[in-house]
Amino acid sequence: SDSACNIEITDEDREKIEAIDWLVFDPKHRSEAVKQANAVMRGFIAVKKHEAAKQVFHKLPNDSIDIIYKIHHSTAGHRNLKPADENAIREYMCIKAYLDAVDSFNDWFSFFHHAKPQKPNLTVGASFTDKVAYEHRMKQFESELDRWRHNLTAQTKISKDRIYNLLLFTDGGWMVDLVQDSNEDEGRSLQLKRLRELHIPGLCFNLHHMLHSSGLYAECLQLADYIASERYLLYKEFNPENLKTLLRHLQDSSLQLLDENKDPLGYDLV
Amino acid sequence: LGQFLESDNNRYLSWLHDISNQQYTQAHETLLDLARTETTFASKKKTLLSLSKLTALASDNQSPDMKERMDEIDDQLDLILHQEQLPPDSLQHLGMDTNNMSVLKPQEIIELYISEINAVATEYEFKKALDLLQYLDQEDDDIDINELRLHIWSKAVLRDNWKDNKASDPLDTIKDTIFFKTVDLAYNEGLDLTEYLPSVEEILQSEELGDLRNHPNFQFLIKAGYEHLQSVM
Repeated sequence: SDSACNIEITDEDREKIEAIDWLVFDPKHRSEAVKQANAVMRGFIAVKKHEAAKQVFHKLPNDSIDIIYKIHHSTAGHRNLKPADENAIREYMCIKAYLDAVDSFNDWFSFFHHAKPQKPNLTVGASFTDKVAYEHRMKQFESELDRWRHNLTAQTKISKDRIYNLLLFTDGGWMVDLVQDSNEDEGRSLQLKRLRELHIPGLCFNLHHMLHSSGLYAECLQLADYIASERYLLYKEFNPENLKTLLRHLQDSSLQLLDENKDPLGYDLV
Repeated sequence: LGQFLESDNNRYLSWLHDISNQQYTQAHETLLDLARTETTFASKKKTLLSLSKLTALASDNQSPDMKERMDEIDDQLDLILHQEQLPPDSLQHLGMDTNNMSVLKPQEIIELYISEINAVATEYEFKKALDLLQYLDQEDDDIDINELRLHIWSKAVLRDNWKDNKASDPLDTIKDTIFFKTVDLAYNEGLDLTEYLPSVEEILQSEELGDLRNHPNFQFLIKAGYEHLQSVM
């Protein structure tokens, strides 16, 4: 499973990031700024340059969406936003959901792999004082381990919610436009489609890895419900190889449940 | 090992073995069989169906039999979705909650949508009840689809008081009734009313309506409504 993917930011990347500065001076250009920023972030996300994508995201002031609506209402009254603007705003929210999901998975990953307290060692032939000191350290270790487990549960819940927030993105799914735009350039729709194919299976694998490592095996199996659902259509983003990998992971979780004397889906045996 | 796993007691394990051996069609069929016989937990049935669907997709088997089984899986998942969307009050009445439900039959889900327990039922719930008719077991002799259909519409009638007619135009009165709101919704969502809506005679003879059947105001309003329908359809 892949953790933090932060490929180096090149000079060329930096130029793209800084170009956004020129577009945010004037609120009248904010809708264009969001579209340009989205396009740059799409490029970064496609090659997993998450740090670069985040820097672009932070170039856009927080109130950008409000400003776009305000300017629209002052010129066009109550008519709907132009399709291109509506889609750009939704895409911006999708990118935010993605960056949040990745960040929060990385937090979980480093907490799980690096923050776990280490069990103290007792060397063979230790003296009496060594043994007393060891028992003391052992007690400390156990209370630290308890705290770590407690925090792990909390972190797992946050990261799980963030990833599901992306996978089950409201009204039709992540990186799916809601309105048809007749002036849409084909490049953009193709990129959105590619990003779904690229990241949805990956995030499902990360989610499975996280739930499995945290011992939440029954929840691992329920991941199948969401992936197979006709409402979210996540399975369409899985190629046959991905599907086989997924089934192998689910099978691993089932075997763990059998070890716990449950049935393969985590229900009590009758 | 394969033979051991095929015995009835161990089929709940055999699909795990099949996945290891990349026998996806085999795993898919076993999982579907297990789903068909699961009645204790709706959530378990759902996961068995979902896994059966995913193993089918991994099998790359596109035979007509497979296509038929995939349709069955999607229908069954849709049915469970209808069950999950039941109002919490109706479930509570059965001592269940959304996280702990047994597998309900389509006719049971229909009843929960339209019965008085679901006090806030709107045309959307009645429309759902009509949608659920397609999932009834056609081979079950105890189920009379026509009777159940009339039952749904009779329940819709009983949601309103038809005895007062305040507006001068009957169409103004009936447009606010659950019965005609359901007709409207079903029509707009493309349901074939010639199949799903009973004739005016059937409605007027429905025993479930009791005395209301003979009430002149009710008869007048229903007939006016049906006449109006014929003119617009």
